[in-house]
Amino acid sequence: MDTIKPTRRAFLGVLGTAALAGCSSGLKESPAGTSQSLKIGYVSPQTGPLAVFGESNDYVLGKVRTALAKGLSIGGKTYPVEIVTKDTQSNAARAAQVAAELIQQDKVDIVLATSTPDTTNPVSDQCEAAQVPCVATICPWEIWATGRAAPTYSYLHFIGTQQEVGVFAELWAGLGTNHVVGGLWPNDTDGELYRKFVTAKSKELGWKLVGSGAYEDGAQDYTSIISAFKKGDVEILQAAPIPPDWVTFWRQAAQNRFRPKVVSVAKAMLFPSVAETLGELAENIVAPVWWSSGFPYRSSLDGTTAQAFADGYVSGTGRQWTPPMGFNHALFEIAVAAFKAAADPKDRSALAAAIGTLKGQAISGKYDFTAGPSKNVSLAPDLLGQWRKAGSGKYELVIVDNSLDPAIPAQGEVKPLR
Amino acid sequence: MLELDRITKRFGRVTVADSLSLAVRPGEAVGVVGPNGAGKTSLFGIISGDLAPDAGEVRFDGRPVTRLDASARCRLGIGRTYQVPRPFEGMTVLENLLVAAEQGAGARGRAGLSLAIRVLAETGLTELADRPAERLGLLHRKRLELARALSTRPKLLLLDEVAGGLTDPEVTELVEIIATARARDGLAVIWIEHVVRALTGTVDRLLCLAAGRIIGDGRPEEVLAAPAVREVFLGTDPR
Amino acid sequence: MIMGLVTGIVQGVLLGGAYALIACGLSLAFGVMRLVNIAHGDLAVCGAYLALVLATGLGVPVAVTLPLILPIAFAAGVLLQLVLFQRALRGGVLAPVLVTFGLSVMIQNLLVTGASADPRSLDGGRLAMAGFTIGDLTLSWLRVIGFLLAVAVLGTLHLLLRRTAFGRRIRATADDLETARLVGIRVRPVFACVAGIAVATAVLAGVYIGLTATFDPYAGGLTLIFAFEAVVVGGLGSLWGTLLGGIVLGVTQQLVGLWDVRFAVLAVHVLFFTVLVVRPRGLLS
Repeated sequence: MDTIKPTRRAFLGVLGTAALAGCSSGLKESPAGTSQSLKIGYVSPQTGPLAVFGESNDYVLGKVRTALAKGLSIGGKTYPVEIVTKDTQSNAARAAQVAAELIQQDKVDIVLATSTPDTTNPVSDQCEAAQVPCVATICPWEIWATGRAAPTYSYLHFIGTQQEVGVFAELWAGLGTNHVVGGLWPNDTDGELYRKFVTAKSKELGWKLVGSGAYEDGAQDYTSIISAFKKGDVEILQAAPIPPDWVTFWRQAAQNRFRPKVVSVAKAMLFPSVAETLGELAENIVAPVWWSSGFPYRSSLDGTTAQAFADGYVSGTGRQWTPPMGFNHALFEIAVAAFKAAADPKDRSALAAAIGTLKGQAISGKYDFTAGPSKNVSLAPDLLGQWRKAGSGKYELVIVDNSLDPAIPAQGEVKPLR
Repeated sequence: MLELDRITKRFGRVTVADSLSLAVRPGEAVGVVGPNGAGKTSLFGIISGDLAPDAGEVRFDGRPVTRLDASARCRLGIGRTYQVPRPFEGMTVLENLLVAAEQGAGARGRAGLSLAIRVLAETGLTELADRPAERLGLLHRKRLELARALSTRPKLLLLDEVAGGLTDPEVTELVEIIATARARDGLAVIWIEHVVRALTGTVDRLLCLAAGRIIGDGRPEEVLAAPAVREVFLGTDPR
Repeated sequence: MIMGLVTGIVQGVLLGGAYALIACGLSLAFGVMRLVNIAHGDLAVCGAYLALVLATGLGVPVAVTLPLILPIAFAAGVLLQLVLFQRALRGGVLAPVLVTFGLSVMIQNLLVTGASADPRSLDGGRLAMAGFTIGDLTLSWLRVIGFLLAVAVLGTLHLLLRRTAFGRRIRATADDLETARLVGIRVRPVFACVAGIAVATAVLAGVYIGLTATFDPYAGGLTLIFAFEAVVVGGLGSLWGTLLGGIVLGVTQQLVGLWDVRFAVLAVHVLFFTVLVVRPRGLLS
C-alpha cells in the first residue's frame, strides 16, 4: 500500500477505493482511536424524500477515507481520522437527534451537515448549543442565517438566493420577452425566499409579476395556476418547487399548452434524474449550477480534479454525477483545513475559531469564511446552466452563464424555449 | 337423514346443549317447543353450521358435517330461516331468491331464475319481485325469509318461529305454503314455534327442550300431556 | 370571470374523475368486506413502478403493459386477501387498519430499496403531452381519458354487481355475511375476487397517476388521502357516490384554487370534515 503515491490515488478505480476504504475502517478498532484520533461526524439525508441528495455519499466518503487513510500530520503529530455517518431520514427532528448522538455518544470533534435547511439548521443549532464546531452546506445562506442567533461554532459554505435571483434576472434581460414574470412558489422556506427576492427584483426592474400563490408541496393538480399564468401572458417562469411537483407541473403545463420563453427552475432541476424523467420537456430549462464536473478545481486532499471525481462516480455506479457531490466533498476539505489551522485540533473552541479564518480552494471552488455576507458564512458563486440532450442521449446541464466566476468556462450560449 | 350425536355446547356457565342426541328421518316434520333459553335456536345454529359444538358430531345424509361451515351445509341441503328475518336488504325480493337458488341449490342461469320465479309464486311474493327487501313489511319479510330458504332447495328446512308476530289468517297462509312445499318435495322440517297451535296440525313429532336436554319426544298431544313437559312450562298450559 | 368559473368547473370534474378512479377500489373493498385498506395508495404506486419496469424493459408503450399488469394485480389482491386481510378481518375493527398500515410501510421501504427515492414518471408518448381547445378552454387529453376511464371502470363494476350472478354474490355478502353463508355462498372466493378487483383498479389508477404526475415510494400516502376523502364524501361503499365525491372534491379544489391556490387543498379537507360532521354517511346514502 505504501508504494501507492498520493497523487496516483486520484486515478484509482472504484475497486482500489473500496480496498483502501476497507483498510481505513480497520483504524476504528485501533486503541489510538479513543483520544488521539480526529472524529468527524457527517449528517445527511440518505433515505426518505431527500435521499437523492445523499445518493453519492458512499462514493464521496470512500474518496475521503482513501485520502485520509494515513491520518493527518499536524504539528509533528499524526492523528488517525475517523468518520461517523448519520442518516436524517429526510426529517428535521431526526437530524437534530442524530447530531446530538454524534456529539454525546460518538464525541466527535466536528460535525458536517449537508442538504436542505431540514438538515443544516437543526444540526447547526445542536452544535451551537453543545459548543461543537460545525460546517454546513447546500442550504441558501439566507435561510441558514436568518431567524437564528449569531453563530459562533457553526459555519456555512454555500450560494445565496438573492445573488441567484440577480443572475437569473441578468439572463432574462438578455432575451427578448414581454417582461412578465410568473412565479411558481410553494408554501415552504425556499418558496418564500424566491417569492421575496423575485418580487423585489421585478419591482426594481419595473416588470410585471404573476404569482402562483403559495400552493402546498405535493399538490397533484396545477391547472388553476397554469390558467392564471396563461391569462397573465407569462413569458418568463421562475419556479422553486420540490422535484416531483416540478415534473407534474411542467407536464400539465405542456398538456394545457402553456409554454413561456424562458424557464428558470431552482431546486427541482438540480438532478439529472429529474431531467431524464421529463425527457424532451427538460430541453433548455435553466437551472442554477453551483457545482459541475466542468469546474476547473481540484480536491485539496489528494489533487483529484472535478472531472476525475465525477467520472469515477459515473463509471463506478453507472449513474450520472450530481451537484451535491462537490459540496459534500468540500465539507471534508474544509474540516481538514480547519484541523490544520487550529493550534490544537482537539480543542473545540480553537477549532471553531480556526474555521472562521479559512480562505482557500476545494473541489467545489473557492471558499472564504473571512468575508461572507453574514457572520460565519462563506458565499459560493452561482452559475447558470441549461439542460440539453448530449450526444450520449442523456440530459446534461450545460453552463451558459459564468459571470460570478469567470474562471469556470462557459459551455454554451443561452437559448430561449421558443 | 339428520343425526346429532351427543352434542354439547356451553356459553360460559350456560349449557345450551347437554350431550344431546337426535335423529330425523327424511320427510319427517318435527316441532320443537321449550321455555326461553332452553337452547332451541342454538340447536338450529349447531345444525346449520352457524355454531360449532364443543363436543359431539352432526351427520347429514350419513356423512359427518361437523367441520363444514354454514355455506357448505346449505349446499348439501340444510336450509334455515332466522327468527328475526335477515334478508339482503339492498337487493330486490327476486334477487334475494336468485342468489339463494344460484348458490344454495346450484341452479345456474335459467334454472336459477325459474326456481326463483316458482318460489315467488308459491310464497305469494310475485307482485313484490322487484321491491327492495328493505321496503317490505313484517309479513312479507317473514315470507321472504321462508322463500329464500326454499330457494336453496333444501332437503331439511329449519324454521325458527316463522309464525311469531303474525295474525291468525297470516299464520294459516304460511302453514299452507310450508305444507305445499313438503307435499311436493318431500322435505323434512324442524320447526321451532312459540305458537304451539301452528305446530300441532302440521308436525308428526314434537320435541320439548329444556336446559339443553330433550325432555319430551313423541306424538304432539302425548308430549304436551307429559308431566315433565307441563312442569317446565310452570303450570301454564302450552295448548 | 364567467369563463374562469367554467374552466374551474370543467377541470374540477375531470380531476374528480381521477380521484374517483383511485377511490373506487377502496370503496369496493370497504363496501363488501368492511376492509379499510391503508395500503391502497401504495399498491397503486407499485402498479406505476411495475408499468415503468415493463415499459422500459420490453420497450413498449405504457398502455400495452396493462393487459399484463392488471392480471398480476388481480392475483396479488387475491393473494393478499388469502394470506393477510382474511386473518386481519377476523381480528375486529382495528386489526385490518393496523395490518394494512404495516403493509403500507413495508411497501414503501421495499420500493425505496429496490427503486431509490428518485421521483419517477411514466412516458405516455405524444398523447400524454397533448391538449385541445374548445373556445377559450384548453383541456388535456390525458385528463379527459382519465375521467372516461373512471366512468368506464365504475360503469363496468356497476353492471357486474347489478346484472350478474357473481355480482349478486358480492352484494349479498356485502349485505349480510351470515345470511350469505346460509344461502350457500362461498364467502372466501368472493372476498378474494373483490380484493383482486380492488387491487387491479388501484394499479390502473397508479399507472394513470404515473402518466399525469410523478411518483416516488412515498407517493401512496397522499394518493390515499384524496381517495379516502372521495369515498367518505360520496357515501361509504357506494360506487356512484365515489364518483360524485371525487367530482365534488375536484370542483372545490379548482374553484378555491382560482380564488387563492393556498387554500385549494385545505378547502378539500375542510369539505371532507364538514361532510363527516353533517352527513357522516356521505352525500349519496
